[in-house]
Amino acid sequence: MNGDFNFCFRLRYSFSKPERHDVVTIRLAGEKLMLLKRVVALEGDFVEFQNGILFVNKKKIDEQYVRYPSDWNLPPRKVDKGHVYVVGDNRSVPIDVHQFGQTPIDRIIGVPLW
Amino acid sequence: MVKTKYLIIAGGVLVAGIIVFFVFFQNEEAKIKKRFKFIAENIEKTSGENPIIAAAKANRIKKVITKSCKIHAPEYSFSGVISSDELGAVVFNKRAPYSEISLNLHDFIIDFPEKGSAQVNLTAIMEGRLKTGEFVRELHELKCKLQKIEDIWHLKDIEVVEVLRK
Repeated sequence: MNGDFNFCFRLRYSFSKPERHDVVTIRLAGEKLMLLKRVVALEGDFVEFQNGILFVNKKKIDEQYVRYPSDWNLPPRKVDKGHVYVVGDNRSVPIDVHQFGQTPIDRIIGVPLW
Repeated sequence: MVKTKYLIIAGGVLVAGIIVFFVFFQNEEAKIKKRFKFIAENIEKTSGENPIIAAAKANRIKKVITKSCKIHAPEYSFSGVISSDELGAVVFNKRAPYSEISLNLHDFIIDFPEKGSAQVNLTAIMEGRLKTGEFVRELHELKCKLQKIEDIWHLKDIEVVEVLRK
């Protein structure tokens, strides 16, 4: 969700599931406007933020793709079955403003093409 | 010869029926989209908006819902029934901290489950600048139920779909 125009490669997940660190497009009501987010955790994983640092299953994740560091704090939560946990790379905004969280895998349409 | 004549008439009636059917439903779809356009126009805000205009817009928004409207917005921890007067006040107060707001609606999926009612799915993108200078952009999927009262579509149920759950 950056207001830019992107092409989407829809066949990317025809025979596989999204993996950690994939950037994916997430469907809303239709397919004209979609969310663009990075998968940080898969089903069954525990996700949390401590002072802006992402922890997955209590392991610190080195996120070199993050554009602006944050000071986010989020207590641990488990990713439900059939879901992935996605977060945007631009974390300059407060945690309550940034749109992120777990989403059903069937909402993932594909990956962006640049 | 007579049989052919009746077949042509029957075909003509069928084609006319199909055209009337599609024209009727397209018109209803157009009316609903126009209604949402009206909502967007009255939520939008330009810098330096006069307080009288703000009050007038909030007053217009009151008229887009039925007597009361069910709103379910888990992302904002809100679920309940709101009256048209309350909606006007909410819109007025929510617009107040912004100096500019734009609201664009896309990807309409419109169904008519029964006569006089409609179900609409759409994606709404709201962009705004707070008076503090901070830029805000929110993208949401909305599921709305509408009821037709005196030939005007009114919202009676709005759900902000929880696409991402923190």
